[in-house]
Amino acid sequence: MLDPVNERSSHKTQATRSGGLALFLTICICYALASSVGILKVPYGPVAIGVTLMALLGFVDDLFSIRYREKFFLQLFAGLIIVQGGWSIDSFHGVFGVFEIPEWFGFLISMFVFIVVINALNLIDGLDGLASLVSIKFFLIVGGLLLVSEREMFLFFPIIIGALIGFLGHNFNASKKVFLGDTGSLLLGSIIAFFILFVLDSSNSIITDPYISRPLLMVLALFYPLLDTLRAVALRSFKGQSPFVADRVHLHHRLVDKGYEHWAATILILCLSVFFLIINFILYAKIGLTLCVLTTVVLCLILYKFLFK
Amino acid sequence: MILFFRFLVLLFCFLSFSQELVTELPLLVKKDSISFYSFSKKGVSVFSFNDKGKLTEDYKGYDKPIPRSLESLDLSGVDAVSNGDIVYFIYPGGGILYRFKNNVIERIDESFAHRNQLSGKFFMYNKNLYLLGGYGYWESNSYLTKFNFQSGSWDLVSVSGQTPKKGINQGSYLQKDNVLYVFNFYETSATSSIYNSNMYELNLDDFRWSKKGVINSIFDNEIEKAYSYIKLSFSESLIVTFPKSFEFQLITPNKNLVEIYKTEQLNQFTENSIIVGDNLIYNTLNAENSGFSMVVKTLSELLSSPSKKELLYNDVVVFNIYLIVAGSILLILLLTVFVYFKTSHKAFYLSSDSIYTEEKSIPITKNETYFLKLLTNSRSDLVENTLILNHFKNDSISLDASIKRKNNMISSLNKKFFGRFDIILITKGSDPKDSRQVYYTLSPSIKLISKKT
Repeated sequence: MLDPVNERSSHKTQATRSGGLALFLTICICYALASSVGILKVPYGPVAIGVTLMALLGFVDDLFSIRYREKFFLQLFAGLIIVQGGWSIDSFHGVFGVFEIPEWFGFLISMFVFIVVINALNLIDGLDGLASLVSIKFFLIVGGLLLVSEREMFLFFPIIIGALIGFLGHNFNASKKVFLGDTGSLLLGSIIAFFILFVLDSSNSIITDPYISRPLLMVLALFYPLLDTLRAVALRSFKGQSPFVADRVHLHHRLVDKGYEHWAATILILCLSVFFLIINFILYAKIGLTLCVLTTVVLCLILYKFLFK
Repeated sequence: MILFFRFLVLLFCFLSFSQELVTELPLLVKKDSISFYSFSKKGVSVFSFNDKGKLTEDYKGYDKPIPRSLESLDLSGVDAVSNGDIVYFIYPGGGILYRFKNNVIERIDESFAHRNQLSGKFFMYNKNLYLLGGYGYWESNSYLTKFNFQSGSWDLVSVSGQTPKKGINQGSYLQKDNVLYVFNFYETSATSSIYNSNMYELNLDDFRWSKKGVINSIFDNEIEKAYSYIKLSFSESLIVTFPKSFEFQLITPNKNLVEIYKTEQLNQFTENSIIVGDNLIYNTLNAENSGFSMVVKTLSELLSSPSKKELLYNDVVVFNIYLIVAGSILLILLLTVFVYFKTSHKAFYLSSDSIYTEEKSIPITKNETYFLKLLTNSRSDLVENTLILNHFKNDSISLDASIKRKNNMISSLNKKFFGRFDIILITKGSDPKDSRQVYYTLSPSIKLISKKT
């Protein structure tokens, strides 16, 4: 599972892609132990099947490299399993003034969100620690939401955050570097996508509803991957390239090219995304959703001008 | 004859002066906002509050004896719901249903004693009778059964949504319009009772369950205590009292509110209590258990000012504490990464023709490579001047020229390295015991790793 060094690689030494597999096995073992003593209940078979399928797809991709179309088809299939399992977006929660949406539309939106989130996380997995730290931030936020609304699932968050922190030590190790690989990024992406569908399902009670819009909170929880993917797809489309082509147009590549070391770029990106989350939390009650989005866009443009340009 | 006469006198005295022990209290059932029933096994009293707030009683014996299966029960422990002049009683555990109508209590079901819904919630909605959850046959369940007035049987109602599938035992229930709030209950099996800390709502129009959040940690989660709690519906709230405690809770689910009151007056009231209008009514046995008396208390006096207010579910306090902990974890993580990379050795890789990191590289000459290899191969990243000088010594040039070449190579390497990486690569030092012994070392913040190309 060695990661080859090529012109797009940000590493110049040999590294393995086995981090995702280690993460998957750690989660499985901890989940089995916690479930067996009854302190963790994630009783959603379709979710387990969908996430495992994604991890296996990533594992095979790490070993043999699968073509994008086949990967995309299998991602759709995994998404279908999870969405058909009962976890889908059934409301826009007031975005564009829309609340309840028809079932067929909810299904399409849920599939779209699933695919976007999985690929967004896969795309940002280009700097040491970036995907892991972004995921840790997401799990810390959603863990809090579930602590007060679905406590029997809460233990999953310390498990996955602990596994990711353990992985970070290896990821940042200069001489014996370990990457998440596609196994890890697809595994994390599918878990994150499930929790986004879970939070956006209006039948689940979420404590932050009086303070911030659910869709906005989810976008902010996964701010950098979504923003970077949107930018990369827009740039590639503008250049007439396929949005799925691999290149170095990502914002984190830009930071590295400007002289930031991997860890510094990762910390900067994470701090900025936490900053946006806090700003929106403070402003939402005062200025509402539309102005919050506008403020975020303006702040993003200013920061882009000074930090990334 | 005298003996017989004495016996008759004694018997007369015994019958005249002995007390009958009262072990059963009558069942109180609310009729409407000003009146209520008090059912005993012989007859029923209808109590009404008159205009002056005084209670008036109208007692009638039943026109027919009550069903035999009801006779053996303690009436005060039977669940009942009323629909004006009609009252329905459910046999503990479900199945058998009685109706009081036209001064007669009769059995109206064609079923049997199910015994699987003990402690379930018996309620009426849109003139239909339902029984929800309960415990029986060594496990709790969340069955919702509806009485079929045509067939006289109980039908299982199909529910959807986030059903508490492992059952509802000793739950707190409150019916408000078309919503039944269910919380503070246990999932009981033959071996254990696990507290379910979620707040549930059952929509009685489409029978869809939904979870509203985790209920406040002020609720005790020991099932042994739950059996002794007394729960009373009051308007849109539920009054919960605890034995041997001067505290009681007024829980209002639709406002997500728990108000805690302190009073000594509610401590003695029994499970068979009702609230009619603003009055709390209950029967209490006297000290000798030879009779009982009815107690009426005005609730508005008891509920004047709560000693504490809490959220029923989605406790913001827990969430806020979590946010502080999660934020601290994230901050510590970021600081750890920052400090680690700032203080740790910066790793550089040495190949035959370059020094590189993940981001940058510089080309190096053969002499520089040789010198750096000496450094990486030495145990303490230290090379003595004489050793490196030997490499530059050549018969065709003078010693001074060799020294000059060596020094030029080192200063050029340092300059090149500093220009690219902003760090000094080589530092020069001397032996403290003999200052003539010069050596070169790697800068302390640098780790040079030799890689084969």
